[in-house]
Amino acid sequence: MAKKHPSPIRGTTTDGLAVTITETELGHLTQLAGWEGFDRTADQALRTQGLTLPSDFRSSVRRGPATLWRTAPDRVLIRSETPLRRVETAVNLAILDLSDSRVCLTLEGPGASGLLSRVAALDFGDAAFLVGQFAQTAIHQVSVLIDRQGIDQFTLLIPTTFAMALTSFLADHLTAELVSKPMNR
Amino acid sequence: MTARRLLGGGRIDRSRQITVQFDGRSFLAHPGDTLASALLAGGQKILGRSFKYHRPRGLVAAGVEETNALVHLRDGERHEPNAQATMVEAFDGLRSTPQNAWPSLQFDFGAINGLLSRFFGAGFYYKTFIGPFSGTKFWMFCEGFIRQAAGMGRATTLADPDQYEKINAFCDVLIVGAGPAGIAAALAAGRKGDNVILVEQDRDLGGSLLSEPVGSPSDGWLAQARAELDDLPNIRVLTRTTAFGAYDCEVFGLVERVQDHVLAPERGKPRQRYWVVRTSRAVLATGAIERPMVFAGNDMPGVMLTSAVRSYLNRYAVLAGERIVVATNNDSAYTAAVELAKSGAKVTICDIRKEIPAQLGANAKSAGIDLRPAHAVLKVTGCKGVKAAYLVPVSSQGKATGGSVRVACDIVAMSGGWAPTLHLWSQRFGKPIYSEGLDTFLPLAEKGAFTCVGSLVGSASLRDALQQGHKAGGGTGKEPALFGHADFWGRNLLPVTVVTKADGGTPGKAFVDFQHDVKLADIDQAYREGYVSIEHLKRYTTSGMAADQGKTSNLNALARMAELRGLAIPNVGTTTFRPPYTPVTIGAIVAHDHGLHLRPTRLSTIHDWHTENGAEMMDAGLWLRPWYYPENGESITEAYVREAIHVREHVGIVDVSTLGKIAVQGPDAAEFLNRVYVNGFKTLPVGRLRYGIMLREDGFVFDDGATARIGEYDYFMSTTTANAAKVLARAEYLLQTAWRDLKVHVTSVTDQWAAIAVAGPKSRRVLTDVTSADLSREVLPNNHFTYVTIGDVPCRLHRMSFSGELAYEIYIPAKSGRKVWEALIAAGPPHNLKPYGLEAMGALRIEKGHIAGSEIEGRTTMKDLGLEGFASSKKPFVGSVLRKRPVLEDPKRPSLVGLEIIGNQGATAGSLLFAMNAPAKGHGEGWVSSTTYSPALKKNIALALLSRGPERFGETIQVVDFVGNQTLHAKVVSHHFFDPEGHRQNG
Repeated sequence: MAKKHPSPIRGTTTDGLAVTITETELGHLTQLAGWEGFDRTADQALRTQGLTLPSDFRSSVRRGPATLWRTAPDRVLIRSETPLRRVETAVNLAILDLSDSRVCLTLEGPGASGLLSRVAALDFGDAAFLVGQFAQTAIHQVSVLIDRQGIDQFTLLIPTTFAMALTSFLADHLTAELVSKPMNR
Repeated sequence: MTARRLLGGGRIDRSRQITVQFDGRSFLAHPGDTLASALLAGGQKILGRSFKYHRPRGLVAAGVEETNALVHLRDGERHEPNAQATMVEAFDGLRSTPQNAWPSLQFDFGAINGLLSRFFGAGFYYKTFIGPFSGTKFWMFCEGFIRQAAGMGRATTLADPDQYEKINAFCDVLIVGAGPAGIAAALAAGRKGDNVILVEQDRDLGGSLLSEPVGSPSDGWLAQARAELDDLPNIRVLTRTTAFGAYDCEVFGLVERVQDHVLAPERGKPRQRYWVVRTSRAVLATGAIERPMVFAGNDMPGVMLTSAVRSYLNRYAVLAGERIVVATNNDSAYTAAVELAKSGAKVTICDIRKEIPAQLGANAKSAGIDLRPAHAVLKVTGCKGVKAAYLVPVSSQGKATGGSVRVACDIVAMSGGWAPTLHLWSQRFGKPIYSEGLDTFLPLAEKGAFTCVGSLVGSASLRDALQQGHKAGGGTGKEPALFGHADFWGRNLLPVTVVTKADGGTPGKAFVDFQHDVKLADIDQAYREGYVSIEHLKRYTTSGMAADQGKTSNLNALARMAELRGLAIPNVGTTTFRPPYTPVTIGAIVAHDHGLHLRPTRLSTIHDWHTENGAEMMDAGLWLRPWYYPENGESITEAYVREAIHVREHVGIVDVSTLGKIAVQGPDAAEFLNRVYVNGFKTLPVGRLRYGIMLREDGFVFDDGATARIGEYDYFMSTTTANAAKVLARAEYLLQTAWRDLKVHVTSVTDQWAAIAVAGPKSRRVLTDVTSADLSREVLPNNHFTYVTIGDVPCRLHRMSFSGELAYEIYIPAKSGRKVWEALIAAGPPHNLKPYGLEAMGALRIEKGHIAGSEIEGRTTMKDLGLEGFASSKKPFVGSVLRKRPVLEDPKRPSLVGLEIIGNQGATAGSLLFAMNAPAKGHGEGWVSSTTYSPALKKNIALALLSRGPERFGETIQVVDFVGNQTLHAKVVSHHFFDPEGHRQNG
């Protein structure tokens, strides 16, 4: 079994760029799923929360502490600090609490996109994966959602039961910082 | 051969001296040297022994096409076999040793094979399969020796101490090869603003320009180009990186030798890095490799490719010999010859062609070269090194037309033309195109997203190569202006590389494939025996099948077969190349996916409690699960028996978080469940749960589980651990194709919920204590659920039994899993609550006759399992039709029974069943599916599938484990060993 790492994990990629991996509070995670007319019914329901339904599957929608990702034509995932206000229309919209199913990792630092390039087959270049975009992909054969919040900052949602394995896998790519002397440039 | 380091020149750092070792000897070298150039400068003639005949061999090349100088590199855990000395960068402290020679390079017993060469011709190994004696005894006898002799170097079995990594990269244009054409392409594309990756296998950029004499005009051009490449931020230059594979959709595999050139990798750096590059387009500028000439003794140390002799001269300042004979059929060797003469060697050129371009002839003569047109080298002699070459006048077919003249020499430099390095192109697009004028195969200049430039497409001059590269990159900026020598190989080439006596034979062994020791005579033999297609030729002679993939042999072998068959080369064909272009270490491809990270490990949120409290863990697919909790040094058997008894007599707690859990939601959820389960789900009320069985379309049992109705349109389905993903995938498939009309969504919630089972006569008491809820039989009957709070955590409590005891399953929001477990443990002592693991859980359910994964592994139907009554006759469901196929209704099919094993030995799962008086041969009448020691019955029992099983209760049968070589006897009984009425779980 992989090693457990104390949080936060600090290290550098083999390019010498620093990354910090921190487990952060996920808060609430809710999935809304629908059928025909999802665009309409979901958009209506989301507006009551101050959110809107995006038309594509890469743009994250943010409002305050809440974020929405459209993960499929008929599904959205919403991260929020408080539970979503009750949405009726169970006939048209299925609501599912997934707050315990994911662990939230934040990758921060100049080495963040380099680290992700080593574990996921996606272009993490600044022009290809814009700040404010997200992607659903796989790391170490496990499905993950990656949300870019800054040039050097990514949020990862990883399944709870794979959290230890994936965190360890990510950490494996980093060399722990030594108590360092000032670097000569 | 008297090679020496020249006093000046070379692209080496003479200000620093380093030491490398080979075969116990130390050699002085400089940064910039390869191991090969250091050994050459130090006078090491013999660098290896050939594969089959163990003939002494020296350097043939200066690059990746080297076939002979394969050495062992480093000692201990970093030891590496079959390293090409020409590709190893020399560094201080490098240790290398010879391979494939015993007791020494100088004197190798293996050379005796050379005397037996008659028996080692083409297809010799294959021939042992078919004779000369009947049967396979002779073959097996030879097999022993062949296995011992197979392979060249020896690998280490010590663990690799180094790290490797994999990285994904994306670009607009990938340029392979940083020779002049590649650099021109990179500059043009970079100036245009494209994202460029430029890949070069050498440590330095420059390609063929690095073999120009130091001080040539190309030096200035290169320096400027390097500076501009550095300045452009959109160009990533990867040196020491080989593009080894071109795959579909413009995906390329590269391997970067990050720290191969130092003693040990620095902290934080990988030894090698595997790049997977996805690009929009590719420019291949991979150059060309020179072709050897084929004549007797052409494998002797001292016989080299002319371009290699030139590289050693100009790049490494090593003059390979004092007296050099250049054997050629084209113009390209002349520049080298003149440079060698000017460096002090005595040079003779024998050119098969009668007519030699005037300028070249004049240059040669004024350099003091002895020029012999219409001549070729027929034979080379010497003892473990070239001493003399025998030159003959030849016809334009390469056949001797007169007597030979002996010319004393220590180096023979061959130039039989050039073969473009089109491997990546061929990997992608298949067969290349033969060019008669160049007597070689070429890729198409443009195909798909690939452009090929430079020597790769036979560019006629350096200027042409640069222009092609510039255009391929997008033509931006100033066109590169650099002129080369007027020595294009394709002009007036005479396409003859084989030199023979007048009768067509060679006076001695003439080699085509050096690495696999394939002779011209082997090609001829293959032809005589009918193996004339190119695919047969390759496999029958093994020509082109060594690690070098025939880089210096393919064309010559092909040309010979074409000549024998009287066909033009393109009509004989060519073989296709496959990745990798050069060998790639598996460690680089594996990167971090090994050891603890071979697969992702999946853990329950309660996992740490188990390991902290002494549980032995076991692998269940990707999961780690508690196997048993040994107390006081118990063995596994003692532990699980104790645990199972404890559950039956008191109460046990087990972590079942691994169960698959799927949220089934939507107005048509009930209809969906009704279609996938064999039993009815349409009218399941909210607050109830029901056990269900699912079939595959072909009527076999697929999975089982329990589904609870949480709300009007909300269901919670559980599946077996192993099938969770399969069930979800199946559901998605049906909903998205056949059942698009159903308004249902399925979502995995396996991670959302931790799950704990509490089982045993006291389970109700424990749970009542910890929840303060009314859990009486009336309020919470079997197959109902309710909501409770445990340790402040809202949970759902299901009453359902897998063990056959009074039992409950608690579903907990996963992140609170451990908290709830600990609350239960804390409430446990008054009731003697103890944890139990997988092994005890197995014993309990087997005693009860409950089916699990081993009974529903895809070969059994409900009827086989005695569960036919479960299926509804009122509605169709997946599998309902095909389960009624006559073959599945056959009464002889193995059916589920129990076995009481006679004796103290337990049965092994998978053992086959035979009647007592029947011989234990063949597939038998059934098999054992699950096995355990039953604590309740105090005997070894098993669940099994037996033909006509239920009709045979009371019969004693044989239980045969063919793998473990053991036979037991057992009595056939009902599989409901324990509490068949179900009193306990319904309590």
